[in-house]
Amino acid sequence: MLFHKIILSSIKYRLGLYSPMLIAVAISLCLIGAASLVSSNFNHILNREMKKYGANVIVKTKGKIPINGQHVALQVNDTVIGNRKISMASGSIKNLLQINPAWTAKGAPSIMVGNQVAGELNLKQGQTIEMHGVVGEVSVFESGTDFDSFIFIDKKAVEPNMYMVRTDHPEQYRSMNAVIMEEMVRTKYAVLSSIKKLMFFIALISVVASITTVINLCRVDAASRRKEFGIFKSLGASMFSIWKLLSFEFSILALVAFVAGLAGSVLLSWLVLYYAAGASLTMNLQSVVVIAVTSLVSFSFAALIFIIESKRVHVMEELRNE
Amino acid sequence: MFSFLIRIAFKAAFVQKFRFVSLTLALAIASLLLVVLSALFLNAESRMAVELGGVPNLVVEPQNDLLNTNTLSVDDIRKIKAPEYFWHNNLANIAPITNSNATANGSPVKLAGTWFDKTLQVGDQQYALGLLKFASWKYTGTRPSANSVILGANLTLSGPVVVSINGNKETFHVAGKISTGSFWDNYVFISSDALSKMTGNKGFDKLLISALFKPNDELAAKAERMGENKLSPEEYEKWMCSAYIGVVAKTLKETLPTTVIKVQRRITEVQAGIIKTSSGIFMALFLLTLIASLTAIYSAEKMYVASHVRDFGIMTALGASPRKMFAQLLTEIAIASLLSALIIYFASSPLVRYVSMAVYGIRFEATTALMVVAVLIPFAVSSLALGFLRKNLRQDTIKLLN
Repeated sequence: MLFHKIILSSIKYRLGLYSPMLIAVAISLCLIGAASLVSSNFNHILNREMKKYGANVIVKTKGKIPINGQHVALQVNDTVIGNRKISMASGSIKNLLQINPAWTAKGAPSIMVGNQVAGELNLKQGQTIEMHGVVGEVSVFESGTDFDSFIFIDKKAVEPNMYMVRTDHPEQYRSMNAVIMEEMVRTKYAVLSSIKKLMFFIALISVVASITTVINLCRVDAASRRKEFGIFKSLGASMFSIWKLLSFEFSILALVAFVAGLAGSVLLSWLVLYYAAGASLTMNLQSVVVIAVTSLVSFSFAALIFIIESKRVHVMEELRNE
Repeated sequence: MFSFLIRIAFKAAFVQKFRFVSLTLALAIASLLLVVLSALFLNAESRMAVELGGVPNLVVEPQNDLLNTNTLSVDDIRKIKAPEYFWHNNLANIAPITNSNATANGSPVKLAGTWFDKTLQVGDQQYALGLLKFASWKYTGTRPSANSVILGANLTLSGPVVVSINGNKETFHVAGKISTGSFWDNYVFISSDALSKMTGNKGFDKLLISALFKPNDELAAKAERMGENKLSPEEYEKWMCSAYIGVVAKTLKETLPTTVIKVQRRITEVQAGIIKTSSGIFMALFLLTLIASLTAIYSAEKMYVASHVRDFGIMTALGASPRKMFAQLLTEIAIASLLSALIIYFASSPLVRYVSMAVYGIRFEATTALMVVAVLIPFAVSSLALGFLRKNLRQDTIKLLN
């Protein structure tokens, strides 16, 4: 009972000192937490952006094959228009555009003509044509790939011979003689590595800042602490009881800083991710542990300095406050 | 009066060594943190663009029709790397490609003649360009020469490779393998000089370009949606002066009129998306760092003033006016700010270089503007702390002494 009373009185007495200390530590913890959470969520953001790459596996095979993930089955035939050989593909245009978000096609077309073939055949956007029984307006698209010399018709592929697949695990298609496009995957890992290093550096500096702030602010109170320890000792308190008192007091501060830091980190990370990247926040245990440990270590350092100091100084000197 | 103030401030700083040093260090560390992280954040977007620009995102092909068969030449590359072409610095790498049907050791292969790593002189500038300069294409092997081939990652040829084109045979040694993550992994690359010697054809079929560009915003989207001709004159001028991928492609077409410029949209969309979101995140984190640094400086000053309260009491008891004490404290904080500004000035450049090397693998320089701002920060925050200072000085003498 007395033990709790002493701790609470001490905190109450030093509220003026502890409040700026807690605010400063909580802000540092927010920065550490935000860096950690943003870093761990960055992978999801990159994965989302990587989807814009579109189909990353093209399997050229006749008949049905087992496919996992977003895909479109196409029946590709060569056809002669005028005196030109054109690749004509039947399949679901809706799925095709869903799978290739970077392709620029206007409206909900039933006939999509690559810009290269459109130029060669002098086909214009919106022009009504009939092709393989499908009547519709031409939608000229641009992909920057060989598909710019294709014509796509919104018609079921009866005998599919090409599959365009968008998957996060393209390795499973290697055995199917597929063309696997991984050119952005390496870039993704390079970007991710830079981001992680940057966030680690921010967190590291913030940890140092947090510890320095606590130690600095605790030193303001060093004189009155010394006197208190002197009184405790002269009343018969052992070093262990002083250590217990100090540990409990600083544990409460560490807990308050942890709760404030965690709440701030979650809020800040959510704000950063939502407003800057349009992404939602996924919590991870590692970030929570980092915040908790930093908070605990910061206050433990300060407590440790007091204890070491008290052990080295004679009780009379402490009472004289020298 | 002024010299007395300086003297007493120095004396106070000397007596309270620990507190004064910790105030100075806190000011210096917080401002340094801001300088270093600002340099990282402000350069992050361009660094990200370079990181992402390691793959070709534009393909230039000659425009052929029934009457004319065009090819591309070294002069075309010189034209787009010359200072006359506005976006020449945005073209990070260019690799010419000439396709050929060939056999290697008797088996049919896809063969491409290219520059491996060529130094191109354009005016008084030199550019290192070629296949091995695409940062995201990983090459393993020895330095290739004119007698070497580089194999795409999916190919397994070994020993001397006999390449045959239309009956012309040449023997090459395998210098290494290149992994591109694209259909180029199925190609055998030889130097364009060696290929032209075998085929007699000096032109290129296409140029692979990795261009650094600005992600599309509303204006670029409008230009793409409605066509740039529908933009108002002001909008058009702004659009043309921004490095959107559409603008780079359009100006390339203007510089090389007999070509087709293919924007690799699947790549540019990913690049733009990552740059856009990363920039937003970096800006937000920069603001957080700014707030954290300012709070750290404010707490350090508050600590310093709080540690002085008893001194105020003694001085008031001896007859000092709050104005004089305020002036003395102000001088002490100014000295600390000045010292921390000196530390920042000398430490920021090497620190920014070291940290940027550790994080990005390249050296950034701290910009002068940033350093001036950082040096001013301690002074600026010190003036913010004045309110707190005044509140303490207005207290009753007995309270101050207790």
